[in-house]
Amino acid sequence: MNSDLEAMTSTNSLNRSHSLNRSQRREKINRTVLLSLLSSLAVILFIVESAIPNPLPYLRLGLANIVIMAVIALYGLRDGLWVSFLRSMVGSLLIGTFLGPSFWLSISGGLVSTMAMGLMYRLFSPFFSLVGISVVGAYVHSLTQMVLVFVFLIKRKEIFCLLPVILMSCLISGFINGLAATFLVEHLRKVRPINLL
Amino acid sequence: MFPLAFDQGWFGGIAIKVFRRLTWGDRILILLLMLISLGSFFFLPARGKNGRVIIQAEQGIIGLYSLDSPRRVISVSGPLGSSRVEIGGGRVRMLSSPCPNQVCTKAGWIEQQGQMICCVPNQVLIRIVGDESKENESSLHLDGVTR
Repeated sequence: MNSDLEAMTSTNSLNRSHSLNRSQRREKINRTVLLSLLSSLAVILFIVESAIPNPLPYLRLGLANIVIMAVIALYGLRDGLWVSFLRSMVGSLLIGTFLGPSFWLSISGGLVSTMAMGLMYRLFSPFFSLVGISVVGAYVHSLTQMVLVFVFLIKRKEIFCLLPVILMSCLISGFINGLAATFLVEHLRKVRPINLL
Repeated sequence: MFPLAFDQGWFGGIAIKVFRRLTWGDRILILLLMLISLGSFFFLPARGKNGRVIIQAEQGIIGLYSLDSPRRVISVSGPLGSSRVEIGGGRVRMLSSPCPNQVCTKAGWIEQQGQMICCVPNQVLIRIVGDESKENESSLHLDGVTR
């Protein structure tokens, strides 16, 4: 009975982290710090990108996708979804579109495309490199947003006339983002940037 | 491997490096998606025919006319006088207008969904819409605004 009580009281997070050994703790802290740095990088890219003037308001570069792909490759789908979620939340809070239509579009497109990219990375990782995964992610992102716009915002079929332009720009931006993510992942795997503790 | 001089110069060096980095899955996937994207340029913009024309004047909607009807001319009265709109053979134009600059008559025929002719001085708006029932109320308002 006494030992049960001890076991119960000792299951808070502090004591549990003591139960890990030193290298596991270090790994966990490194991961947390690197993930938070990458999240803030994604937010910064999101904001910088919204400041770049576009020829068409529907086309975006999707620079934050680079970071999300790197997180998927380094840490897996779950953390990728978290970074994508945080990118949409914090980015839209800072830009000022929080809870507006473009926020919902960004968060849903981001989560669905992250899901698609993570599953694709998990299933076909050696067959497709990050470039192919990025292109698929870009397509899924913009098609999701297009369907959502059709269902909720503009209930007219004319918006699908934009589809060729959007698909073409998705291919180009997805390709470039995929290359950038490849280089980022290689670099992060090589240099191991954070050595705390 | 490269048909043109893609393997020369600084750009060629980058292109070869990038190309070698892609896996075969990537190359096939990108080629496939490129074909789909290019193909959609030709297939998707085929808009639906049998659209309808909405004519609006200062007092509101004058009427909803089918584009495929035989040729007829509708007179619409505005602040400057009477504008005449010609509908027929799947297209519509402003036949004559009392406005000073005649932008609306010079716009010529329109025939595709989403096109419109607007005469600001005489406050006449001619629009071609699709044939779905819900478009008639939703397309009278804003298309959608986002930032």
